[in-house]
Amino acid sequence: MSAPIEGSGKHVRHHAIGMSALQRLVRVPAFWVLIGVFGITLAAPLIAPYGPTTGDPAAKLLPPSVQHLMGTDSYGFDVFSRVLYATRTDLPVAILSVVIAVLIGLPAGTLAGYAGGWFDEIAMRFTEIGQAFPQILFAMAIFAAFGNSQATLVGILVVLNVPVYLRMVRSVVMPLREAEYIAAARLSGNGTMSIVMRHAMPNALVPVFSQFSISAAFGIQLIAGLSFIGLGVRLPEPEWGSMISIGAGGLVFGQWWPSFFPGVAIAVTSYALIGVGNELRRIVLRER
Amino acid sequence: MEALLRVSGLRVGFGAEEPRSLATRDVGFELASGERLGIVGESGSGKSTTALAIVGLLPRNATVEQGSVIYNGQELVGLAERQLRAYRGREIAMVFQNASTALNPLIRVGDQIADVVASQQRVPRRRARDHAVELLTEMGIVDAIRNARSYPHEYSGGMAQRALIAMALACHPRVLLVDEPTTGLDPIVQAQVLDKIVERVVEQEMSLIVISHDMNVILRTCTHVIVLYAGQVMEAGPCQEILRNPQHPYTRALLDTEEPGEGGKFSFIPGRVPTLTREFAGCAFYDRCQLRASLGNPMICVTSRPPETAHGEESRVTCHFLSATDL
Amino acid sequence: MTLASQAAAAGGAPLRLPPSQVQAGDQPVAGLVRFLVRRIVSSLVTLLGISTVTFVIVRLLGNPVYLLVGQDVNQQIIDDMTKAMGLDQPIWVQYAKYLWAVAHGDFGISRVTFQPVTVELAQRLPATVELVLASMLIVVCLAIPLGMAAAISQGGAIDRLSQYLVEFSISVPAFWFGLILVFVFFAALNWLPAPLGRLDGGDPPPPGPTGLYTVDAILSGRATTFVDAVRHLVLPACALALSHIPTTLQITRTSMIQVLDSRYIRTARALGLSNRRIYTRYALKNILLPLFTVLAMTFGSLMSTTVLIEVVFSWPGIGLYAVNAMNAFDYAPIQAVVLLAATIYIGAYFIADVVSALIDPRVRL
Repeated sequence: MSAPIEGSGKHVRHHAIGMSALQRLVRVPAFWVLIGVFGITLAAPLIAPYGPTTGDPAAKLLPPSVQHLMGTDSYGFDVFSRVLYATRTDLPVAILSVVIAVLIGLPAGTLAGYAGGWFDEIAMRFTEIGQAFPQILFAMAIFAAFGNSQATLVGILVVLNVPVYLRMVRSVVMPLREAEYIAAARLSGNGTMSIVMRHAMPNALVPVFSQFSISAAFGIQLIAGLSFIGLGVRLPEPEWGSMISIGAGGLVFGQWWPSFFPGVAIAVTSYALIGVGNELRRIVLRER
Repeated sequence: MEALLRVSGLRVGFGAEEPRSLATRDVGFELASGERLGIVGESGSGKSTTALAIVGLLPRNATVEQGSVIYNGQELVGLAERQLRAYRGREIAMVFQNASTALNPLIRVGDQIADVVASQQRVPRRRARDHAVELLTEMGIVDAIRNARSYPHEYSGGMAQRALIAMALACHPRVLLVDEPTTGLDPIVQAQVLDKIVERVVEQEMSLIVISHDMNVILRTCTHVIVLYAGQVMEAGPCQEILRNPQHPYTRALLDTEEPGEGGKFSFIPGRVPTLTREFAGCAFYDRCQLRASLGNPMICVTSRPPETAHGEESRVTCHFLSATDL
Repeated sequence: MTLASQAAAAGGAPLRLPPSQVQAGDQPVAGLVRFLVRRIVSSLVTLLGISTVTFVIVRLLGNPVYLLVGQDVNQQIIDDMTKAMGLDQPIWVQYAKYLWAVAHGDFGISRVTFQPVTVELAQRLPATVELVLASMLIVVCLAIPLGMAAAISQGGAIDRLSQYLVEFSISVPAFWFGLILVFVFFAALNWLPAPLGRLDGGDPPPPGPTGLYTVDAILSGRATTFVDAVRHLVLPACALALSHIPTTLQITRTSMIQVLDSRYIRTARALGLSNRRIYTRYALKNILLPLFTVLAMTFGSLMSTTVLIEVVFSWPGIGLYAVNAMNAFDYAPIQAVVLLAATIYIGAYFIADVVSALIDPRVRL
């Protein structure tokens, strides 16, 4: 491990995640769970015994058995297959949304943190507004306005995530304004833009990277919640939230499996994403 | 006279992973009743750690690996928390540096002192509050009644330091332990606070341990001094003797830095305190020692640990070479 | 599930705790007033922003006239209605009128019931408030002592237990958890009633001033109603509490650790004060502030997350109201609920800031 760098305490070594980080990740159980989930996402058509929407109405509401590992729901769909296929609905949407949110939040936050002034003020007002908005209700209103589609869903997730990253980036960049090596760069004649690109932004990448998977986890939960009340992903697309909704009516009659397993899937996936995100954050903090 | 406090072979390690940093590596000294001892050294020399080890308040990741702290015949190292509490405050009271942050910002100063009084002396609260005001006055804080009702952030640095010492004195300890009492104070206030400390200590017949990186502070307040470097005692003895005739090259360097050299420039000791994970086969001060350079870099300084040699009347020094200029 | 939980998931980093602004030379009272004014202005600005965004969204929902009268209608009628609803005026005028209406609590008429939305909101608000308060009770009784104990044990058994609890609460979706609770405690064990609202079947609600059935039942001396109301309240409150436990727990733990490691606590220890004294008189006082802040924020965000739980338990609060309205394409209620929830959220933040100023003398200076 190299010795700490003298001089400005704000100087951060930013380098790609090295071998030691990977070694640490490997020890975390959440990491393997996540690998498993990604694997399922890719290989669902190969693993699932049935198609996601091939249902046999005669086989309604069968409890878990060898033919139907997680039973069937009220439409006759095989729950196990749908749980597997649902990864392909939830994960890409959640991850895509966070990526877009970062693509917007990173430059916006850098600008707000570095330039300050009225741009910063406006940005902060926006984030406050964005974070004060009740999430589900906001989503409901947007769906009502723009129609019930996946694009709207992505848009909503992006809007809800941008403030988080904007604030995060801004708080990393702001103290850098005073950092010595920024002053040095300025003295040597570099323009503001290049300073921003080369010095300020990369520093922000670090916490962003570790927050990423945590945001994805919340994205998945929000998607599930919305689908539960009929927004976002519609039947018969396999989605954990809507699956729970389908099975909800039968719960009081003792049919627990259509709602139970999708929820477990959400919990497991969230746990994996958050666990990996936390470990990444610890790795990043240690390396500073 | 039997020493009130005897520390020997104290070795404190930090950190969870090997190799551990060693903040102190064999610190030993004695404090007699009524004596005023100074512990001097640069930051990183293990001064504060020694003090924390004595009262058993080392941070979570630090442990006493070896050594003993015997107070009044009782070994303190290894005592359970509940037993140690009987000694804290009542016998040995420690005052942390940077008094402004050592006081609870949400509680009035007078109340904080009263808490200590009430807890240590088991008096009712009203009496404790009055006593707190008395203590503040004794420490030289004017308008003590109004100041007792104030909050710590309303105090100046010097006032906060006095208040903190008043709090410690409220316990009527036998030993007062002050860590860097002059941090953040300007020179005039420094002198006032230091004199006040000595005044109170002498009046109440207490022993005093002062920790400082500033030799002047020690010389102003203490009768004896030990010089720490890299967690080891380099030299120890009565202040007068050490001042008149410093033996160890490090002590000499420390004394030099306090006095302006020719041309009014402050000399400083080049180099820095070694990283604490190093184990030394020889002398820890070797890298920065001026003496060894003038002696042609003798091998013995590298290969074997210098012994502690008695010298003068009550002093001892840890060096292979007693000064040839011993007068 | 909330954004606050996002921050909590990232390791309990303190949220936006109130700013400490020291202005030398101010009289203490003037400083407090100035601080209050500043916070009020800032809250109003945010509220204005939210109202504006809501306004924009609602305008995008399409011409409300068509929604009211359908499309196959005489143009004259459409023109008349447009005029009657004030939609022919420039957008700025509409915006101003909208703000005026909102400021006066006028949220329009429900398209379905033709009742003023404000009235319907008022009828349903107590149900949500009761649910939120019950959840907060659970959160406070569980998360705060656990957080403090975890900080004290740091690394010990209780700390690990609370870590597991946090991981669990954060990963499990609350609405699903509610359903599972229903299955276990109603369908399987039959200890608790069906998720069909606040009271059993045909029982009348207790008369009372607050609209909170539990409180009203006590006030009017109806013991059986009280028990009934509580039995219906238990499961939804637990489900709702789940998403908010991690934040509160982690912030309590972090604050407690910060305080316990602080120099003033070390001073108290060094001068011989007992652990009990330190925890109760000193440490507690120092964490009251961040605790109160996180509780205020929890309350604010609870009001926004009741929607799904209300759906699961058929709880007649403002969340269910909004969902039903959405399914009926009735937009005035949705707009109203959004504004109300956001206002409560901002209000909670505001109160947290003000109380911080009152408790912490440094902020006041």
